[in-house]
Amino acid sequence: MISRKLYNRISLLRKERDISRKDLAEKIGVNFQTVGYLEREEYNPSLDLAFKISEYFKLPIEFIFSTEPMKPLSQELYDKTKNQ
Amino acid sequence: MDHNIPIQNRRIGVLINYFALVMTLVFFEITKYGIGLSHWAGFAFAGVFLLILILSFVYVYVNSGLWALTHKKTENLDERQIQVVTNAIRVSYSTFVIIVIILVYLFAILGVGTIDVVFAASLLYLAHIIPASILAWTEKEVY
Repeated sequence: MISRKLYNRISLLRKERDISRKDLAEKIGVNFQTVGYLEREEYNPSLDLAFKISEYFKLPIEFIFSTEPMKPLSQELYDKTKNQ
Repeated sequence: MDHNIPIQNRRIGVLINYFALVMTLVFFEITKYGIGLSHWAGFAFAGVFLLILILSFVYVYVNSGLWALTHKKTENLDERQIQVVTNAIRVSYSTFVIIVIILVYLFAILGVGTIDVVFAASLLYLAHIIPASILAWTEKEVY
């Protein structure tokens, strides 16, 4: 089965919180190389792992993962304020 | 599992390792059947290729952690590792079966007889090394 590509903000969130790949990997229970594969969007996580990542960052899963390319956060914030 | 080995180096290492395995076996068999070379020259060549085999094995499979990765219990792997290792084992199983069938037919056609200990050891080594060599060839990031 060929699954569609999932886009994510893991790299951005990890850098924003100033944590290393190793630390994040430890918290979500994977090998640190797997974090690299996730960040480069070369591996689609299981639902369980996606939830673990979402729980770790305390953000909704749809904010971290998407089936469409992610907009830059600044763009998303601007769109939100414009609509309010 | 300390340092990253670039994929090009890993691929060259895999090729050298397979070449050394074949050449070790060839020189051992040549010596055994006394074809062309003197006894000691044959063993010397087999020894040189065995050394290359061991060195390339340590460089490509041990230092990269790929040998450990393909021999770990499933509960010690994460979901991506399980996926890539399972896939590598699936491909290597069919590859190994094809190699063994070809060898069985070759032995039958050539009438060589039974396989010796070195040949059996080479097959055992091959069976264990194919999954790791698939990962060495395909994985982008290996530590």
